[in-house]
Formats: sequence, C-alpha cells, structure tokens
Amino acid sequence: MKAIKSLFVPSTCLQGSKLPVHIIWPKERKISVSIKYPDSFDNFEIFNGLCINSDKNIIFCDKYEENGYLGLVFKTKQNSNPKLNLEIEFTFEEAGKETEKIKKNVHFFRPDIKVTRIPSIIKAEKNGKEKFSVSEKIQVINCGEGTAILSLIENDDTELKIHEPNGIGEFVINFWSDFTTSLSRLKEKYTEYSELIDKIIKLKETLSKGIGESEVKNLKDMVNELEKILISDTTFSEDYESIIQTAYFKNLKFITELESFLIYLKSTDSERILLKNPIHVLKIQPEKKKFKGHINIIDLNYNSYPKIPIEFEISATEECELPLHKLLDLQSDKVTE
Amino acid sequence: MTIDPSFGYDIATGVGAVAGKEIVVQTIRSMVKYIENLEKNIENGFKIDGKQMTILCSEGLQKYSLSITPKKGIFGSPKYVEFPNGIPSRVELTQVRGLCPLQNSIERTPEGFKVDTTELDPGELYILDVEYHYEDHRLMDSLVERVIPRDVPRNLDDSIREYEMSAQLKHLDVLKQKYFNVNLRDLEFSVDVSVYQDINTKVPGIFRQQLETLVELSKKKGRAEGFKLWRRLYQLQQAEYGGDTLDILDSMHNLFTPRKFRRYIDIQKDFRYLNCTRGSDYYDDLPFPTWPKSMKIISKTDLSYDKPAAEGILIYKQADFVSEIEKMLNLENNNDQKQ
Repeated sequence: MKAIKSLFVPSTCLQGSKLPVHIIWPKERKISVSIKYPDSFDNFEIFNGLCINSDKNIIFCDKYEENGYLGLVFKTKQNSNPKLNLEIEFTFEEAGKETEKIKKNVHFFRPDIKVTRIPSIIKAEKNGKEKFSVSEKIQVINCGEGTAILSLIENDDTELKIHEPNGIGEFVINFWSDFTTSLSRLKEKYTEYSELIDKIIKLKETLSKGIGESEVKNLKDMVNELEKILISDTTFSEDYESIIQTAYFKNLKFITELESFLIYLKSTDSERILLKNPIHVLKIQPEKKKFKGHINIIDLNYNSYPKIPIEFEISATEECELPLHKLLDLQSDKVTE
Repeated sequence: MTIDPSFGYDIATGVGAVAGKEIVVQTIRSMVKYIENLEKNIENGFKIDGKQMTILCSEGLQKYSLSITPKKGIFGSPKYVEFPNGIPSRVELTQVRGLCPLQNSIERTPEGFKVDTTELDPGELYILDVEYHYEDHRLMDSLVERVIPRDVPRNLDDSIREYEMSAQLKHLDVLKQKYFNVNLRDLEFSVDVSVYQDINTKVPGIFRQQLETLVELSKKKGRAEGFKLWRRLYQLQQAEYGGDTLDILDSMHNLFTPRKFRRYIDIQKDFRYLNCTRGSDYYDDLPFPTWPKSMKIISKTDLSYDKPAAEGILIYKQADFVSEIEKMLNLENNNDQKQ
C-alpha cells in the first residue's frame, strides 16, 4: 500500500524564486522522509518537521510536531544555464524499510538577455513631421524563457542625458504628487502600515532613477509586503485602490486613452521583454554627442541580472527628442522544449 | 538512506518562522478564549455536544459553531442565557430537526447577545453559530506559506498557460485544540497572469498608425494640418485592417473587466476562482495601468488540521484570448482570405 497521500512539487520554477514542496501521509503511519535536492538550491525552510540536514544536500526527517505532514520551501539560485531540468528525490521509509522512492523533475528557467549589436554611430533622420527614425538600432535578444524588464539608464559621465517626455511626463509627475499626498493621509488611519507607506512614497524616486541592483531588493521586499497586506486587509486594499483611482482621474487631462495605449504597445514590443522607460527621450542635436549608459535587467520576481554597458555616438539631421524605444530592437528567441 | 550521525536534529524553521509562530499561537489562543467564554455561559442552560471553530479568511471573521441541547432542570431552565463576551457580527440559532433558524430566540444586548430558552424544546439538538471580527490581518501570513508563481515559461504557440499554486501551513499544531480543531476557509491567493504579449503581437502596424494619427488630431492643430490628418485617417481606415479605431480600442479595454476576462481563466484542484483585477506592475512608472501587462487572478482554498496543504492549477486560455483580439481587429477574416 502506498504510504503517501500527496506529494506536491511544481513542474517549473523561475530561477532565484521560492520552490514550495509538501508531503501528506496518513496520520496513523510512522513515515520517515529523505529528500535529496540539487546543489543549486540556496537554503530551505521546513514546516512541522524536526530535520537533519547533511552536507550532501539531503534532508532527513522522522520527527514531526504533528504526524502526517511535512512542508518545505526551497530558495533557489540563479544558474549560469538559463534553462535546466533538475531532480528532487524523495525516499520514504516505514519501520526501517524503504517503501517508496519518487523522483520529481523541475524545469528551472530565467530570462537571458544578450545585446548582439551596439552601433558605434547612430544617425537620426526626419521622416515626417516631428517623426524621426534611426540609421541602426541596438539589437537585444532574450534567449531565455523568462520575461525580462529592461531599463536603459545613463551613466554620470554621459554627454547625453535621458529626459522624461512632455505630456505623459507631466501626467506621471502630477499623478505621483497626488498619490503620495493621499498616501501620507492614509498613514494616520493605518498606523500599523506607516513604515510600508513611507516605502511606497519613496518608490517614485527609485523608479525615476531606473531600477538598479541596490533598489531591486528594496522594491521586491516592498512588493511582497504590500501584496500580502492588500490580500489580507480588505479595508486597506479598498482605500489604497481608491486613492490610486482618484489621482489617476484627477490628472487624466494630461493623457488620453489613445496615448496610453500607444505607450503600452511601445513598452511591450517583444514577446518576453518589457521596456520600462520606452517613451523617455534623448535630446539629440546635429553635433555628434556620446551616450554612455547601461541596460538594467530584472525578472518578474524582481531578481536582478548583470547590467550591460551601452555606449554610442548619436547625431540628428535637426534637433529632436528621440524616444528610447526607437533606439532598441527587442526580440525573443522562440522557446523550444 | 544513511545519514551522518554527527548532524544533530535541527528545528529547521529559522528564527523568523519561530518568532512568527509565537504571534500565531497568541492570536489563536485569544480566539479560542472566545469559544471558552461562550462555553461557560452556554453551560448555564445547555449541554454541549460538539464544537467547531472556522476562520473565514477573506471576510476577517472567526466563526464558532456549537451543537447544543437545552438542559432539563428540576427547577426548570433559565428563561435567558446571556453571552456578554463582545458584540458578534452575526449570531444564529438553528433547530437541527427541520433546519429551522429561530430568529426570535436571539436578542442583541449592549455587551453581546442572549438566547431566549422559553421556546426551545429540552432534549432537542440545536446549532448555535456566532461570528466575530478579528483584527490581526497578518495572521494568515504568519500561519500559511503562499508561494506565488510570478512567471512561467511561455510560447505564443501554446494554447494554454498553467500556473501551479500551493498553500501550506507553517504551523499545524496550533490548529489542534483540546476538544476541536480550527479550520481555515476561503484563504485567498493571487497570481499575476501576463497578458502584454498577447495584445502587442496581434496589433497590426496599420492600426498603430491609425492611433498615432488620432493622437495627433486630439492635439491643437491648424486647419490645413487637421484636414491632412483626417484625410490620412480616412485612407488608413480603408486599408486591409481598417475599422473604427475607437470602437476596437473600447472593446479591447473591456476585455480586462473581471466579467470578460473570467472566460479565459480556469482554476482546478483544491482552489476556486474568486475574482480578477488589473495586475499591479510595480516596476512600472504608474501603479495603476489602464492597459495592464498582467491580470491579477484571485482564487481561494481551505486548509485545516486534516488538510494542511492545498495545490491548484490556474489555467490561462491564451489562445482563446488571442483569438478574441483577432476577432476585434478583424484579423481572422483576413487570415482566412490569405489562405
């Protein structure tokens, strides 16, 4: 007779995320569990079990706070291989005898961004009223299976700076101003969340600088905490949504639905790549200027990846504002199993 | 399997989890205190046959259900049994025979409520349900591990996309009480399902040009320039993928309403669908996207001492969603004609 009622291991996992596992067996049976896990797991947390963890990536458990259940959460690491299958082996023993061995395969994936070409010189030419196109684009390919969120960030020593565009830029500034003012008032009502609210208020400052490595962890912690509260505290959740909507509609005059849809399309131009700042602009002149910067990369779990340096010279037939999405050719490799 | 005996047992829950457990134990203890106080008062006029405590997670309620029979005393039963333990959000007494709620037997008082026993039959079985609000919104977070799958490998050729969900108790023993177990009902779980690529890859270039022309028209223009733009828009609308731009945009916008998007979601195994909203793309410049890159799907599940973990699958019917967009953009007919 099978000892185990259920064993849950997800079949896929974004590298660097948590991997939940649970095992349930009849309460009347005394089962010991050995779990052999891959090297690429960082650490783990155990629920309801007192376990021995050997240095051979084996967890052994035969003592439980309540018999019949063992829960685990593994913290996984990013791997040099963007897609790999790893095995977790479960061995169950009863009265000193092995009763069952189950192997579970997990497919670990992540985005894998490669910049395949950076033109040394880019020329922007006018091809219609207030419309410019470029001679050559920076080629970016996502060869991995995970979604990547990219932001093009300037370095301090660059000649050309990135600017917020007119119109939508004004909307974003006014939206955040109204939103954070209302959030500050919300702190008085929800004193228990005041620390979190302060973090949200500082978020705009972080986002406007682009998401760098140091900011990613704070952003990830903030998102996790906020999501947990939004789902567990309905009253706070309603108030939070309400102030966002109020700030949005109050500033709607700055942006039309059509424009917002166009921006949406520009930021999602590739299947597994999202561009964070597509309509931010470079102010280009007929004289050649050097842009020095880098591409910051995070995934949907706010894990960060090594930044990619970007450097080029750019000029235009006449003075213009060139949106960043026009500089980048974003593509994704077709996923093959 | 052999294990090196030099490794000792470890309460491998980590400092955070142990600290979390103290909070959970205290909160559950304070909840159980309510049921103990209820029992003390009930025993004045009833015999308790069974009891159950359920935490209604999404409503923030603790619910006590007690099966009771009125006592038959030598000097008769007390006319009222008082429960001055706090004001419940809901209280109901039901006679098991006929499952008949007895509205007139419950009276609210400034301190709680009281049961009028005059109409009750001694020896008959009744169910008393009492619900109180609980204030600790972080309780579920301390008690349950919910790991949200943020991304799954994807391919536009796939007809569906699956997100595996799991909820598991961090502390099982706290749900086991002396004479009853605590149940968790309607525990919420949210998953952000990415939709951005399903729209973008289907929007034809000519439709984008129509939008751009309309955006230019919406800004202040001279008469001659305005005329040129209207003529350009007219030409674009006669083209292969033509159609009323604003109507198409409106229909696409409606796809993200919970009622419409629900069609593309299926929840299986231990979880049940609850609702969906526009997703929160916190990495974005705006925390409230009118055009969402993801949709947040909220489902719920139940956990208990006897069912300490739940698993579920969220299925996003990607092909159906894409097909709906194709219909809106009149792409299906065009594809057929090309074939």
